[in-house]
Amino acid sequence: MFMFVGLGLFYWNVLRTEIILTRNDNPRILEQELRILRGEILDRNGKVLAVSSGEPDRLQRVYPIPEVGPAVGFYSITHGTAGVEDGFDEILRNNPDDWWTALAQSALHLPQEGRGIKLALDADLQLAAEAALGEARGAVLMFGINGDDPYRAWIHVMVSHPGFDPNFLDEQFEELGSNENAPLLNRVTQGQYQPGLLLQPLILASALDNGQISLSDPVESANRPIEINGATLQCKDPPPDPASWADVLRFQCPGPYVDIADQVGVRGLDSLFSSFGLDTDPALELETETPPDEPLDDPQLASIGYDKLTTTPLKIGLAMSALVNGGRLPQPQIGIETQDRDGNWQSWLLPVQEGQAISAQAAEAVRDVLSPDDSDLEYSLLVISGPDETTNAWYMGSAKVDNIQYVVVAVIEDSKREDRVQRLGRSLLSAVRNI
Amino acid sequence: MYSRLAEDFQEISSRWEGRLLAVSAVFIVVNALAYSLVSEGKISWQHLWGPLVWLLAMLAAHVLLVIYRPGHDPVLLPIFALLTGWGIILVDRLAENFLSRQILWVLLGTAALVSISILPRNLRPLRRYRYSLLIVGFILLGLTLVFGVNPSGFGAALWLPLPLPYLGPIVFFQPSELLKLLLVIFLSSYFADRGPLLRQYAQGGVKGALPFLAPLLVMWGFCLILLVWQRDLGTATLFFVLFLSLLYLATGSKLYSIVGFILLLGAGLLAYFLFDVVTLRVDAWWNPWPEALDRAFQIVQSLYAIAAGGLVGQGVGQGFPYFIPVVHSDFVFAAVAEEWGLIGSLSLVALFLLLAYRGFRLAAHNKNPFRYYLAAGLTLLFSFQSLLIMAGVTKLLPLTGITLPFISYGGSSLLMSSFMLGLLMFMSDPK
Repeated sequence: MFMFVGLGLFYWNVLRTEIILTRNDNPRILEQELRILRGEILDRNGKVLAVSSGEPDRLQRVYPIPEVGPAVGFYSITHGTAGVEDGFDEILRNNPDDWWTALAQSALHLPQEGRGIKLALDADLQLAAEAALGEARGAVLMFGINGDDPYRAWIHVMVSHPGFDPNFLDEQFEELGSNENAPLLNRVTQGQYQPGLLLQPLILASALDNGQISLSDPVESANRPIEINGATLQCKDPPPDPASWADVLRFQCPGPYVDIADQVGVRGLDSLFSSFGLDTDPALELETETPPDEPLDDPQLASIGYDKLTTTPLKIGLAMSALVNGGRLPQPQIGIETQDRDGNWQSWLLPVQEGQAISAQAAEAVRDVLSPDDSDLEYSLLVISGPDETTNAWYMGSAKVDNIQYVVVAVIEDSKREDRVQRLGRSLLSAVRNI
Repeated sequence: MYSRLAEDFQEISSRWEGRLLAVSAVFIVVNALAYSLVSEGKISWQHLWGPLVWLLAMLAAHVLLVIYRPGHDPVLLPIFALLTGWGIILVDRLAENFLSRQILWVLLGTAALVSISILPRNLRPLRRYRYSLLIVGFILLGLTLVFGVNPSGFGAALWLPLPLPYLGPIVFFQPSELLKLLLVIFLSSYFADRGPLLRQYAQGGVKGALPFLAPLLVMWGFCLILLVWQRDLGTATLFFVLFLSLLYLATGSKLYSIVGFILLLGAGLLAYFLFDVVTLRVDAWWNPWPEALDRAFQIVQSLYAIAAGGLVGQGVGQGFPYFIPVVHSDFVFAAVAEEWGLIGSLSLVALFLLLAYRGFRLAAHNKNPFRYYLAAGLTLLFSFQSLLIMAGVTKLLPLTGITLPFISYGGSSLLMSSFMLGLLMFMSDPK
């Protein structure tokens, strides 16, 4: 009988340990979690965005600038992790990377101290964008592409409204989860929007690249109306007659794109969207979302950004940035430095794929059409979106400061105030110029 | 020549006891220091006074035993010392409020152990007054049906409140702990007197031995009825198994054991349908996981604690055994497994195994039939009690709600266990 007790101990203590200890209802998991000193999250200027504090056996995550909540995400014992907290969880926790260290840490009860990360986010710009967006539902994204590293887009601003205060996540989680405005959703990386004529410059640049059109070619009936679900779409303002393809772009005329769609067909459009990365998840450290890759049904609808097309502000922004980046498609990145196990800061560079969406010439030609005097690119419009035909106001703009090309994408949901979204985008670009 | 040899043996024996006690002392003091450092960050008197008092008590016990009972078994006192010292560390760790009381009980237990070892000239009164002693036990147990309380405020009312001076406002005494000892004495005495007859008639089957078994069955049955009435089913199970084992020793008949085992299963089945507490414990034993946060919480937390221990344990004061309800009493073994790991818990099993070995060895070498049955009975009691609770905590058997001898918090249990060990030590001296 004593032997059986010994075998019973061996069974639970050795053979079943892993299964037993990882059960969700084991309170030891919680106790150990509360003792992990997660690393700090800093913005690019060293401002603290998240830090763990409290008694060594009851550490709490604190977010000194709660407005960055949706960008930084949250860490909760009860509800898990999201955003940067989730994407960099391994580093922030600093789990031992080898068996010996894990054993020593466990046996000696050494405190688990996480490693810090420094983000490309700029807390000041983030707060400015938050303030500019006000109470409106929508998203703002700004990233910068360094001329010396043109395949990488550093994210400086990522605002999603309505958001949440991660300091009170546990208390408000139920309410946040059931809120129809989805405050837990990061609209920049996960919000799905119908692009509408946002894709116009891309389609035109691609057609230009393929030799299908020239920007100076005349276009017949540029202002012809297009019917979608009972709504009639026409040019934003009447174009000159005869109009060129440059005018079609400038005056946001939907009709002529149907001609391009007829020429390239469904496959051509699929390939075009694919070359701009619209059908794949960007290799960002955060969770992003791409809807299931369904084949397009109606090339004419697809050519004006409808059919089954939806996309995120992040993907739209990256695709548009090809126009100001010599046709190169950059990969987004939010982390810039991480601490190594000795506490020293090391640069954090994700491997990039050097993708070329279109030729530099095509990109430059389209950008020149969209370039106002004081900016490298500006494009704003109203897009009818969704089955209830709400209108979203979009802005995309770009400015080069020193050797960095900044790109801003902003969307205000359920708004017909194009001027408001323009002001918001321009104010961000202006803030960058003043830094 | 013989006397010279005996003196040499006693000298070697006392030296061995001293060495084993020194090992126990090192273990206890190191653990007390470690716990003090872990919990306070410094060496604190609060966690050291208990082990130091214990150390002095063991030293005194060793000296007294060497002087007055020089031929005693040199292994039993170190086992007692290690188990009670470990118990003090655990009570300090798991139920700090009870530490003073536990230390007091250890002192009383040590005094009882030493007194029983050295004071009696023989054990004849125990043998002679077996019925009277058992009836006293019945009366005390019967009193709990009227005056019984549970110090924790809920659960079976197994304790009698006694207003004893110097031991706190009220001392709670559990008569079933005394009854265990009295039942062993009764059975030993009875078998010593009637053993040969029983053995002889047992060959002719149960019917032939019934006249000799009848008084035994009446007393034992009465005992079980009282315990079942009291809902002290763990102790009732212990009595049943003890009775069957001693009966087997007395008769050598496997038939009794098989019939008894079938009866035990039948009683268990009946209890499953009659008593909620048994239903709960059997269900929680069979498959605890669906009700891990509800009815099977205690056993599941116990298994978590064992699993968390790993090979060497989390270290004293560094695990989370307090997630187990009443860990300081019924589930102290799980706390050992968590904080001292597989090595610590197996060592504890080995200590009880060693105690069983020394006890059975003592019984086997004893020519006096009463002492033979008494040594075997007490050893069986220690063994079954420790096995039932250790097997319950490791989910080998349904939980029985009894304490781990010498280690668990509980004055009555500690005092009676010390008393029983004192009897073993007394009998271990060939003089």
